[in-house]
Amino acid sequence: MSAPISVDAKSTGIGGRRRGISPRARWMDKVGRRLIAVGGVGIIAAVLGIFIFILGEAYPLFQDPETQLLESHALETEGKALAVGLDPYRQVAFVAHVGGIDFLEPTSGQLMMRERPHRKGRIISTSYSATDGQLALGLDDGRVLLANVGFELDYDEGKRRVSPSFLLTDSIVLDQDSEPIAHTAFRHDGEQRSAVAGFTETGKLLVAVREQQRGLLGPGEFEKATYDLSGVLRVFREQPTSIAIDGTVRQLLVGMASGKIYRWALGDVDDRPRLLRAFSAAEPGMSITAISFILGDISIAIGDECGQVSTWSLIEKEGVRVYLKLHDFQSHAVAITSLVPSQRNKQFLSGDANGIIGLHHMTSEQSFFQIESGAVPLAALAFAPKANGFAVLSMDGRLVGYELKNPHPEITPSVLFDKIWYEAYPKPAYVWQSTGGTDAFEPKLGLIPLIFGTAKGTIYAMLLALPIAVLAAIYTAEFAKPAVRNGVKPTVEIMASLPSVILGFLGGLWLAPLLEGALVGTLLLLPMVPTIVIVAAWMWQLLPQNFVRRVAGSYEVHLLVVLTLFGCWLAYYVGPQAEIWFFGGNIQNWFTSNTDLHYDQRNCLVVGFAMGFAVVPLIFTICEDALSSVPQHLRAGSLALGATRWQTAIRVVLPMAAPGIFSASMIGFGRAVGETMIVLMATGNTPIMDWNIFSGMRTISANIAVELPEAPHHGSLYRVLFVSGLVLFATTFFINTVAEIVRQRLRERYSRL
Amino acid sequence: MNRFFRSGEPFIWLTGSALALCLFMISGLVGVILYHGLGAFWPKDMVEYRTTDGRKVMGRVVGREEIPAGLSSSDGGYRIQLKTGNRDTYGLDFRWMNESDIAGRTKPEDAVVLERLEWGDFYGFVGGLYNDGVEEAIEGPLWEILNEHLRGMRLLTARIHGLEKDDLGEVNNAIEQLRLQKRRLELDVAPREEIEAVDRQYEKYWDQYEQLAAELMRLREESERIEVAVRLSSGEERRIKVAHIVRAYRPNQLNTIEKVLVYLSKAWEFFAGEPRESNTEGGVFPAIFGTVMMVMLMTVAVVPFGVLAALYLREYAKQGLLVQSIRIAVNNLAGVPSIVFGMFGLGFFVYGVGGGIDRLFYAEALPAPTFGTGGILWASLTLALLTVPVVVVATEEALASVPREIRDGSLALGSTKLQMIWRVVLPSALPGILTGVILATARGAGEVAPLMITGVVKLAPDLPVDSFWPFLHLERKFMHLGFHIYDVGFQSPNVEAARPMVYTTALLLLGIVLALNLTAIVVRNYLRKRYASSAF
Repeated sequence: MSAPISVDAKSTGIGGRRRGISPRARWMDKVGRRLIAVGGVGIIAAVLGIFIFILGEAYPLFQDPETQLLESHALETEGKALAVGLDPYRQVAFVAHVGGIDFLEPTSGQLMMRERPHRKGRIISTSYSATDGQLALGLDDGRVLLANVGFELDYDEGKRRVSPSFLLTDSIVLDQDSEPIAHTAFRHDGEQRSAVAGFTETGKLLVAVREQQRGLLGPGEFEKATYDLSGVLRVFREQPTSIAIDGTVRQLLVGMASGKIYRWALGDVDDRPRLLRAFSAAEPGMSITAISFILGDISIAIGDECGQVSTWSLIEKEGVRVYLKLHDFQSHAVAITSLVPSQRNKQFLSGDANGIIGLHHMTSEQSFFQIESGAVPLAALAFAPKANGFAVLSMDGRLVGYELKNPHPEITPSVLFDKIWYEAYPKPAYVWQSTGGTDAFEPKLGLIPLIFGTAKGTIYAMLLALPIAVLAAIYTAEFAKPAVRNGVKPTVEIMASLPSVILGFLGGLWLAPLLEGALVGTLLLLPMVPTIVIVAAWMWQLLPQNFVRRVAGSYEVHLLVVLTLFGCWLAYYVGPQAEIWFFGGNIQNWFTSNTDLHYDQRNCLVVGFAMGFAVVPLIFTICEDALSSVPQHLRAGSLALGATRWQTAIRVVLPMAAPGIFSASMIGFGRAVGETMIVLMATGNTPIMDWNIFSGMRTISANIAVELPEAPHHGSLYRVLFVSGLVLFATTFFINTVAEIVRQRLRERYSRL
Repeated sequence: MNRFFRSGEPFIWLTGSALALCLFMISGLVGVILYHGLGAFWPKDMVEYRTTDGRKVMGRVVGREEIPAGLSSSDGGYRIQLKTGNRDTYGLDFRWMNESDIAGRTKPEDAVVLERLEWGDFYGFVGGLYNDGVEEAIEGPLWEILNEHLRGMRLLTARIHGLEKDDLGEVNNAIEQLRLQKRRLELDVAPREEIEAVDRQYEKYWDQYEQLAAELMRLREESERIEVAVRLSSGEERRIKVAHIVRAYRPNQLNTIEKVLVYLSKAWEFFAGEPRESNTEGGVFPAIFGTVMMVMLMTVAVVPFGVLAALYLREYAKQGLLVQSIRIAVNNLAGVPSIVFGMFGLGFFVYGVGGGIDRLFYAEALPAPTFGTGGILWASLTLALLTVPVVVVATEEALASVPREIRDGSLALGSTKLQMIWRVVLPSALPGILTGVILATARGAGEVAPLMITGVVKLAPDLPVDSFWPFLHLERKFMHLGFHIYDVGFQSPNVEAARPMVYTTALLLLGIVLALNLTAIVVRNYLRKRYASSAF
C-alpha cells in the first residue's frame, strides 16, 4: 500500500486560474467526483448492508407478541353461557349456552342463527374440540348430545363468505339415573372411534365408547358401551374436578380435588377402560381445575386451584410411560378455569376466574402476557384456528375478541442455543430436526448441533491441513531453491482456486469408498512417511559430503517427492496385512465390536482430506509470504554466528513470522468454517453430536444450503436459518478481522527492521 | 545419532516431504479427474465372458479389485466390474464377477453398442429389421441398412424436434401471452369487447396448436415404425425402435482412428447436446450456456461497481482510520462464506426486489412468481456481490502502483482530476484491474452454494436466451456446471452409471476455472514486467 494520494486539481494551484481547463471539463470533473463518491459509498454501504439485512431478517423472531382488543359485545343468551368457538377467518363465532347454540358475527355481535338441539332439559356443560368441530353438550338429565359444528366457505364475487352449519349426530344416555352431567369431554379419532366422558356433581364418573361399524355400503351402525368408573373414586375418596380425552381416544384423564390426576386407558367398545397409575400434579389438597391436551396429544397443560399452570408430557421411564412435568409457566392469582390449546403450534391460553387471560408456549417455556379481559366470571376461551386471535366469553354472555400477532412463539434465544426438553424426550437435549412426518410435528430448531458439526469439521480439517501447509511453507521459504519456489507458488495458488464442488464430489464419490477400503493404510501414513523420510535423511548424511554437495544436492526435491510417494505406497501396501494382524481383517467391524465408535462411509476424515485441499493453499500462501518477507539480514546474522540452517529457521525466522502464521491459520479456519459444498457432499449431513472422526456431521453452511430453498418465506425456519447465517457471518468476519489486523501489525514490524 | 538430530537436517527433510505431499495431492487430484474425465468417452472393447456354470455375460470391463475380505466367497482372488448395459433387462448397468468363476473370454466381432434415448446403452447383437411389425427382407449387409435407417431417422427426429421447439413453442408462447393479456385486462376491468377480441385470437391460436399437435403425432408414429431386432448375449431377443437409438457402433471392429471418431462424436454430443436420462447421459450444453451467461452477467455487474468503489477508496476518500477500517471490512468480506451471500441474495434480491417487481409489473401472472423466484439475474447479482471484494482489492492495488510522478505530470499539464484518472491512471492500472476481474470471474464460475438457493435447477426447460420477445429472459432459472456435478453425482438415481458424466463435467469446469486463473497469472506477470521496464 503506497502513501495516499492527496493531490487534486485545486491544491496544485494550477488549474483554477489558467484558461487551460474548459468549463465543460471542470463540470465533468465535478460530476465525476460526485458520481464516484456516490457510487463508491453506495457500493460499500451495500456490501456492509448485507450484515444489517440478515440481522433484520432474523430480528422478528425475538419480537414480543402484539394483541389488540377487537370487539366486546354483551350477547343475549338464555341463561349461563358455556362455550365459544371461532371459524378460521374469525367471521363467525358460536356460543353455547343453557338454552342452545347461537351462531353470530363476532364483529357486530349480530345473531345469525340459533339451534336448540335438546328438546327437553337444559345444557349445563360442554366440550368442544376445535380441530374437528366436535361438540358435546352435557344435559341436566344425564344425557350428552353430540354434534358437529362446521363452517363452509364460499366466494361470492371475490368476497369470502362463511356459513355455519350444525348437525346433531348422536344422543347418549351417560347416566342412567338422569343426574346432571356437570362436566363433559368428547373426542373423535377421525376414523371410527370416539369417546364421551363426564362426571356429575355427586362424583359419578362415566364414560361411553363408541365405534362405528364398517358396513358394506359406507359407514354403518354405531356400537356403544357405557362404563361407570366411579368405583375407584369412591374407594380413594376422590372428587373429580376436570376431565379430558386425547385426540386418539386412547386416554382419559380426570383431575381430582386432591391434586391428583387419574388416568384410564380407553380400549375398544367391549373393553372396560383400564385404570393406569395416577400422578400428583398439584400440591396436595389443591384441586386440578383444568386439563387440556396440547396439539399433538403427547403433552397436557394442567391448571390448578391456586392458579399454577404447567405442562406435562408422556415419557418412557423404566419401561413405563408416565407423565412428567417439563415446564412451568407464569401463574395466575386465582383458580384456572380454562386451558385452550392452539391448533397451529404448541401455544395455549389460560384463563382464570377473574377473567385474566395468559398466553403461553409450551416447548420454549414462555408466558407472553396476562391481560384482563373483563369477562367475569369467565366461562370459556377460544383460540382462533389460525392462531391469529382468540375470544373470551363470560358466564353472563359477554363476548370479547382479540387479535393476536405472534408469528414465532416457539423461538427464544434459549431454544436456539440451550438444551430444551422437547415433549416425549427423556431429558433436555440439543436437537436440530426441522421437518417431520405429520402436521402436529414440532420443528426442533436448536442450533448447537449445527455449530458443533461446524466446529468438528473445521477442527479435523485444520488438524490435517495446518501441519502440511505450515511445514511446506517453511520448506519453500527457507530451504528450497529459488527455481523450486518459483514453480511451487503458482501451482499452489492454482490449487486454491479449485472449485469446492469438485473437491466435494471427489471426496464423496472417489475418496470415501477408497478410504473405506484402505483405512488402515491411510492411518499408517502418519507414522510411515515421516519415518521413511528421517531414515533416508540419516542415510543421506552417511554419503560422502563431497558427493552430496556437488552432485546430489540439487536433486533434493526430486528425492523428497520419490521418498514421500514411496512412503505412501508402502503404507497402502502394508495396510491390508496390518488390518489382518491387528484388526481381524476388517477395521470397521473391529471398531463396532471393540469400541463404541461407528464408521460412516462419508465421514469427518474424508471431509478433512477434501477440505485440506481448500485450506492448505490458503494457509501455505500467507505463511510463505510471512516467512519469506522476514528481512534477509536476520538470517545472515544467525548463519554467520554459526547456527545451522534449521536453527536459523526455527529460532530466528519462525518467531519473527509467528503472527503471520497465526493469521494464516485464522484465515484458513475462516474458510473451513464456511465451506459448504465439500461438507454437503462428503458427509452424511446428520446433525449428531459426537467427536468420532469416523462419523459425519451437519454444518451450519450445509444446513442452510439444504433447508433454505424449502423454507417458507418469513416462516420460523427461514428466520432461524438467517440466525445461523448470522452466526457464520459474525464468526468468519471476526476471525478474518483479527487475522488482518495481526498481519498489518506484522507488516509494520518488518518495515521497522 | 544425537548429533544427527541436533543438526536439524531430518526436520528439514520432513518439511520438504510436507511440500512433496502437497504437490502430490494436487497432481493426484488433477490426474484423477483427467484420467476419468478424458477416458469417459473412449469406446472400450466389448468382452464376452463364459462363466464356469455355462452362462454368458457380455460387457465392458471398468474395474478390477481384490475381493473384499467381508464377502462370503472370498478366497483371496480378484474380481472385475463389468458394465453390462441393458438396464431394462438386467435392472442394473454394472455387475461384479469373480475371476475364479470365469471359464473363458472372447471379443465377438459383431457385438454392437446401441446408445439409446432411454434405459442407457444396449449391448448385444443385431438380428434383423422390422417395419410395422413385419420383418424386412434384408438385401446386402444388415449393418449398412441399419445405418441407412439411422441416418434417415435422424433427419426425421430433427424435424420432430424443430416442430416441437420452434413451431409449437411459438404457438405455446403466443397462447401464454394471450392468457396473461386477458388476465391483465380483467384486472384493469377493461371493456368486454376487448376481452372478447383476445378470446377470438386465442381460439385461432388454439386451432393452430391442434393442427401442429396432430402433425407431430403423425410424425412420431411414422418414426416409431421401424424397429431393429437384437439379441442379448444371455440369449433373450428384443426389439428396439430405431428412432430411440442415438448412436450405433461395433467397438470390436473399430480401428484406432475410428475409435477416435466415435470419441469425438461423443465429446461433441457432450458439449453441444441436451442432457438425457435425468442428466446422466447426453450433453451439458444448457449447463455450459448457463454458466457462461451467469458469469458474464456477473462480470457486467461487478466491474463497474468494484472499480467505482476502489476509485473512491483510493483516489477520492480522505485517507484515515475510517477508510482504513472500511478497507479491512471489504477485504474480509472476501472471507465471508459464500452461502451467507446466497442467503442474502434469496432474502433481498429474490423475495425483496423480485417480489416487488412482480407486484408492480407482473400482477397478471400472480400467484405464479416471475421475478419473485430464483433466476439467472438474481444468481448473477448475488455472485457479483460475492466477488466485489476481489475486484476492489485488485483495483486498489493496481491504482496504488501507478507511479505518483505520472499523476503529477498529468495534473501539471492542466488536466482535471477526472481527466487524470480517466486518461492516465486507469489505462496504466488496466492490467491490474483485469487480473482482479479475471480472478473474480474464476471464483464466480466455481461457486455453487449460493446458486443453489438463488435460481439454479437440475433441468431448465428453456435457455435464458431464445427467439421470443424480449429474447433475454433474465427471470428464468438456469443450469450450471458446478450444480450439475452435485446433482448428477449425488442426487441422481443411478450414481454408478452417472459417474463418467460427473467426471467429464468436473473436468470441463476445472478446465474453465484453471484457464481463467492461468490467464490472470499471465496478465499479472506481463504487468510486472511492464512496470519493471517503465521504472524510472
